[in-house]
Amino acid sequence: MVTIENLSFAFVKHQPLFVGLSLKLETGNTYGLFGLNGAGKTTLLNHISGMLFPAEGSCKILGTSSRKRTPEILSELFVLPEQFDLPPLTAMVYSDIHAPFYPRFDREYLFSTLQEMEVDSKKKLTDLSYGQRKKFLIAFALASNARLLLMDEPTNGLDIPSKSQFRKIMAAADHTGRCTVISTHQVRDLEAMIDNITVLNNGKIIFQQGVGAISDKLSFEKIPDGDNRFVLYAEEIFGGKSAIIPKKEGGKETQIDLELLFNGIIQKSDVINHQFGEA
Amino acid sequence: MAVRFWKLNQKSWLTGLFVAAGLIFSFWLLFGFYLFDPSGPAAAVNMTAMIEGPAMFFYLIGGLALTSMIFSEVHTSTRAHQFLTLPASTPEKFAAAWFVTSLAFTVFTMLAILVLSLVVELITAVRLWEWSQFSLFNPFSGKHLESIGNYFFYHSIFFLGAVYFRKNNFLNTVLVIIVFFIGMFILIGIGGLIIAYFMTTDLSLEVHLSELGDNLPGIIQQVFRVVVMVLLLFFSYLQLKNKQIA
Repeated sequence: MVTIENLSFAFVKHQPLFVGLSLKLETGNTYGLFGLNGAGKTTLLNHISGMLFPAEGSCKILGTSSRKRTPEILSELFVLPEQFDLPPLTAMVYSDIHAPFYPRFDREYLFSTLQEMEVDSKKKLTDLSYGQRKKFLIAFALASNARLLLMDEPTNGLDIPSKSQFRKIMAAADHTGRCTVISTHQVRDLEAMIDNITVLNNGKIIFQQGVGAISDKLSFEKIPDGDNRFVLYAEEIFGGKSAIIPKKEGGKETQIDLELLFNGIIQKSDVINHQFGEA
Repeated sequence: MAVRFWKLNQKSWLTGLFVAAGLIFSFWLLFGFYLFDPSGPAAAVNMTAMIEGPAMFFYLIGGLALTSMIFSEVHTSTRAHQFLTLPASTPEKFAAAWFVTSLAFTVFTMLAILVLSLVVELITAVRLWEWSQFSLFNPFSGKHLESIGNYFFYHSIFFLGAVYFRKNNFLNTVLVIIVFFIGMFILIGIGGLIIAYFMTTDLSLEVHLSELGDNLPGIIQQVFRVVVMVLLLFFSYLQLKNKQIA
């Protein structure tokens, strides 16, 4: 679906954000794109969507350079930015003028999702709260049936019930033939919906593994003080440590602690990657 | 795509239209209706002629202001994604913006002026009960066709300004035009002085050059304007094609 090869980019001359970044995203997967603030998650999404052009290297969607912004490619892509403004139109008018650009747009799905998310489709979008507007755009993104969905911090600005609604709607949506990239630093919000974890740091992809592979190789456990088992990474918690431990063959599968994994990758990427046979 | 431009901007454009029409009508009511003495020598005044000048002025200024704002979405980081990732080709987006701000705007404005002139003439005719002077606005008269031609020329300059500048597009474009003419004036002046210095036999070369400009056949002037217009539109297209998020 998306192939990025040797991408280099800098906003300021001689201060590169990406140097030789390579990444492959496949259809049917939901990728969690994680990184510290300023790591370049949004910039990477802007490259994928053709809103920024690489200084060197290439970024292709379905084999076509994203910078060409062809209607065929754009109709298979929907971007949900972190910060956005919507025009002073009702949901109905907005969908009337934008839906025809997406060949598989599902209006029925849009309005039923808006109803489920308790978004008033008769109100002007500018009169809705930020969270309501975000829910509208999430519903529109899913209704577009685009094959590539790029979501930048989709849960930012959503209240707790709305975050649950978002997870529910994402879980119910048909992801067959779709590639979804969710960029976030709020890892806990999205634990259940991600099947691939990609971590961006210092302009490079430092980790990319499927959830299955992670569960096969790593164990996430709370260990008491004095437990001398070999740990890959650990954080102090009350009464012991929260640790990432190499999983023994045939060992019990544990639930992935995304926050712990993310911190471990940022601080000890070599040690973690070594478990997957990568330096 | 053109419908999208219209829907997104219709409120501000219609407000502009009604404000302009209201101003012209008020101006006419004040000077052409209340202050007009039907028994006096001014009885033969063509009422449409009174509103034509201000209406064509608003057409030019309003159209250029509207043109300057047509790509404001692209220059706003929180709105640019909607335009840049909208599944339409750059030529489609470009052509739709050009069509809406030039051709559609001109047709719509001319119709609006026609309606206004009809209202003005009807009021005058009913008041005087004199129908022989009834004369409607004719956008196809030579004078108005020339104004429309001028609008299309200036439009191409402001269209480039709309894509190129990130904010204050109208004022920035006006500033560039002023700076361009000042620069040209200075360059021609310096060039004239240099030539005059070396060609002491013909110190009035500048005069000859300006006369040459005035005497250029109309068709060449028109061709020159069209070439400049096409070039400006081409640069605008390239700018739009290579636009990245702000």
